[in-house]
Amino acid sequence: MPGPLFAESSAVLKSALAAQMGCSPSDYESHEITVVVRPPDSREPHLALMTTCGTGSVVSVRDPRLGDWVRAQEIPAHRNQWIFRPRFLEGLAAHARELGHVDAKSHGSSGGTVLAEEIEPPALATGFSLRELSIAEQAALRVGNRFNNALGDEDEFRRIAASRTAFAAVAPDGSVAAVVGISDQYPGIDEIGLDVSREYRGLGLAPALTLHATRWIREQGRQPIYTYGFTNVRSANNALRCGYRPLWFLSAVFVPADMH
Amino acid sequence: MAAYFDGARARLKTARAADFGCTAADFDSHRLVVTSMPATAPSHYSLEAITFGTGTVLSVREAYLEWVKENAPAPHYRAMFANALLAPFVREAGSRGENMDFRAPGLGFIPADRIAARPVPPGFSDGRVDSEFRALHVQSARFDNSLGEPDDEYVAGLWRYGFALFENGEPAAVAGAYDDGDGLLEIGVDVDREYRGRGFGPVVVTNLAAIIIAEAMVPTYYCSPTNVRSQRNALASGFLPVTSGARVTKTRP
Repeated sequence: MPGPLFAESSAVLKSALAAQMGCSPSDYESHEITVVVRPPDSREPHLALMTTCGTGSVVSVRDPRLGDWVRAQEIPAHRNQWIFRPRFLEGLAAHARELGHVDAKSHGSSGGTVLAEEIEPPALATGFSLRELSIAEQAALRVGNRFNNALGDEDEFRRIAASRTAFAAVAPDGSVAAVVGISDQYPGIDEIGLDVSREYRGLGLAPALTLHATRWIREQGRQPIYTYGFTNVRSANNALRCGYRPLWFLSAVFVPADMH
Repeated sequence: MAAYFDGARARLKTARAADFGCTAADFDSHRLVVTSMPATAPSHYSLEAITFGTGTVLSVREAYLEWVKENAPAPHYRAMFANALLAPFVREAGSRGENMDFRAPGLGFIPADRIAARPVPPGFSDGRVDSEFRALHVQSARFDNSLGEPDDEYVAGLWRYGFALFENGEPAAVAGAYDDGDGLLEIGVDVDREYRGRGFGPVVVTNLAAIIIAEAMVPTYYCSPTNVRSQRNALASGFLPVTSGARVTKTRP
């Protein structure tokens, strides 16, 4: 069962998430759906964000008219996960388009994990080395989007601006086999992004880089988080192997032009 | 990873390949595989999607096979995104006069290794329960994950047996086992509201899983990714996530 570190990590993340959404951390314990307007200083650019930590759910909107639409839906009592249903998300996106939010669409949903156990980073496979990437090296590796989970897509300017550092696992022939990126997600909280080139999978590079990044973040006095798309089973298992445990789930409606 | 896990995952892949009309190797293909839905699929299923993380398989009714092949998104995992395929599929069905809906995605788990039953808390009794127990409690709807919804004959036909914790003769937590394909039994679990937060979920899940494993079957566990507490219950009970899936079904007009 998750212990004190999970409790500490959970409290920090819930508090930060609530501040970004514009709700109270206790709304995540409420067993209800809370609808709020996003604070102007939130870092989240999405038009609407649906979040839950398993009990209460929160809908955070940038346009208050979307909140009105959510409140008008006949959602049964105590069905706080109703807002994650694909049909609800598609309906919200359609209403956003009617309101003039051009190309508003729903997004593939993500699970979020926080650290529950500290695990020592293992040694890399024989012949591999680990080193920090310079800004110029990160920019060069971003071309072609081969390491886009770690470094962001070439046009993800917001994401790139939030980058704190990145580390690479370098193969014996000098090629970059895997990259882990660390970005400033919320105040006091860093998110880990990871890519392992297909030809280097199965060598244990993913947990080695994830645990190295985890330790780096902790040494900075910040909290690490690790998120993954709901279909990405292997990424979820990497998080679990590295001592992370699920805490929240997030779905979004967004305008593509807002995301860059 | 434990040899037990590898064997259990292989059995799950074999069973799902039969359900989806594909080969087990298709799950490791790193691409999208679209198949014709076998006739053995429940009649209200129209499209079913699954990934084990390294490729996605879509099983589709014959009438929609060509449409799906023409409209399937890339990369493969986007086939489970609502806006990429499922919502357009439902709209296409609507244009053909069929009402359909799609479920929120689900996560599938199997044991990381052989599961040992957790001890029953002091003051509680426990035991394997059968169809007589189910008949006595299903109508209350207090244990709908473990016993099924009242009057749902389809689910009743899948239910096999369960494990329950009792206080003063009344069930406090129940885990039920349902047929989940060849060699597989799916575990559903409920802890009565007044007993939550005391770790009873993993007690009944691990006890039922141990019974299933002792009978040479593989226990499976499913939950929505939004149900974070159920995910943690699965992990605490010794399970690991292995699949993510989505489904489109026919609905009443």
